[in-house]
Amino acid sequence: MSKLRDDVRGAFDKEQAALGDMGDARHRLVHHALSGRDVTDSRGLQWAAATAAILIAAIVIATFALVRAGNQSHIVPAATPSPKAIASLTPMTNPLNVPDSTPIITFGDPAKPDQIDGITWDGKQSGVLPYQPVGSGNPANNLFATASEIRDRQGKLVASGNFGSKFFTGTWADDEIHFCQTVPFDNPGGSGLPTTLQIVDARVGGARNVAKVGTLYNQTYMGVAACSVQFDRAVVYQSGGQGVGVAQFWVVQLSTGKILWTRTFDPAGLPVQIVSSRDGQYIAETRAILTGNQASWTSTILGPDGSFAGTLASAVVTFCWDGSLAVVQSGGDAVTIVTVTGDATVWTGPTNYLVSETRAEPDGSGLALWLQPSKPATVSPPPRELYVIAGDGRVLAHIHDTP
Amino acid sequence: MNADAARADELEFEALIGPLVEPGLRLAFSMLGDRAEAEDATQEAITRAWKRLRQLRDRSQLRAWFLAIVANQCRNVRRTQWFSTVRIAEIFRPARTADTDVERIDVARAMSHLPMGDRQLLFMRFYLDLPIEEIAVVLGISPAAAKGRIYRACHKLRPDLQEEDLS
Repeated sequence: MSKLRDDVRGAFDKEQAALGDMGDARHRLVHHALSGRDVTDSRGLQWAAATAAILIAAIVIATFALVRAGNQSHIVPAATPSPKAIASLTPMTNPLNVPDSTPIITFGDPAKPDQIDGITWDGKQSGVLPYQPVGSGNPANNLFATASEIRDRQGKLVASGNFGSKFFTGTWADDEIHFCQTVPFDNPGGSGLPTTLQIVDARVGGARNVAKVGTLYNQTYMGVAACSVQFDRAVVYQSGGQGVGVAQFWVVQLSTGKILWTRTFDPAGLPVQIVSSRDGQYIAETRAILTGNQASWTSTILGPDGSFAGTLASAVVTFCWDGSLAVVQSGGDAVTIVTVTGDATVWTGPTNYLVSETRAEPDGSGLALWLQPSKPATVSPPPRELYVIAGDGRVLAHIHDTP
Repeated sequence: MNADAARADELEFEALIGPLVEPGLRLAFSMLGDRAEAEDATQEAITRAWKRLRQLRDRSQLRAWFLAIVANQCRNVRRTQWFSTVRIAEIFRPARTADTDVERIDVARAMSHLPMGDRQLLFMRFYLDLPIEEIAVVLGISPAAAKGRIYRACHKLRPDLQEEDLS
């Protein structure tokens, strides 16, 4: 028996040798598992990033957790498609000096990952946030929500309430002061619980029930892909089994709770992912196409009433605020920003990078994209690049980690 | 919950789960065959553990409980159509080996043909050195059933093995 044990162990030893050095895996994975629900939210990774993450996992090009540490930082205000890095080896120390009403992008300082900095959408002003926010920021990043409270950019408590079990699970609306959420948050029991879409006024924390829609089960989750007060609709979805893909989504009128239209997907088919424009007017359904060992992606765009509006030969990661542009990626191709009509490419990212997080410029067509290497990094933490891109494809800022 | 309390919770959680990350990652790697996939699965398992920790009544079962979450997450990954269609064939090709010990080569070759459930059992028993009782918890079966399955898996590798050899 001991010989067999030794041989089996030897075979596993050989196999495990390919795993290589564990390095900081323990701390890194725990940190990212927790920050994936918290810090990620705080940096504005909402439904789009969650969907992107699933797509990226499905594409299975190495998905390393989000890391913000680095030894060198480069902040590059730029107005060209090929920005040059300006080295800055020290953390940002100047406070961000813009009115709270000015929309900003927040990010972890590349040289000091625990410090949250901000940059304006024109890429011209950046600095340390006066209050280091916790939770998920609204589109302008001037209100931040956790599971129990909402604070403004100065850290002042705005409202308290029940906005998630451990983490904020809402989706901010396009009016900056409301968000949509589904309840209950968890613990549906063995047979599941019907869920209710709520809209919450972040100024007071009060919630209004909108409609009963979907069922929360232990192995699935409910999410809100879009919450638009301006267009009076929300897009709510229920994940497939084990959280893979989308089983059904509903387009709901916020003022009446009426289901405007809905779509269901075959649970036995390949997983479908959905991405909604922020106003719920356009929804991309992305499916994988398997050809031998190759996977590619196609997206069907549905219009305001659910009718066919077009196709894109890629996975849609997100739309810009005004819906004119889509961020797409297929397989190992470089991420691109294209017009939703698919007839023009506005910007092409570096090769061998995947989108890990996105933000749309409020009331504009700009996009902030966080990219990370598609291959497992040889350094830890893996580098991450933030591009702030204007609607015409100009790179307005490039924040570059170089470990 | 204020930020300090939340941070304290996280530190306590890391103290509990941190030592289990490496065995969890190794188990995931043995089931998925790819480091990036294994890290993703382990990270997801940690997230689930965080959400469910309060449901764990007996802290002495922590390791088995966490490894069960990892194993379940890996099974979910393997069940996805994409992974089962594209990845498995490419990752779990029978390995070529330069080993000259014929018996060991035979065992390695036989192991490459074992069903994933059997490999998982052997990995927990012979690589992670988990006691039978803990393996039973991971798999949600009785210790007697776990022992029987380990024996049957070993028997596939070495048909002349006797059950008492497992004792």
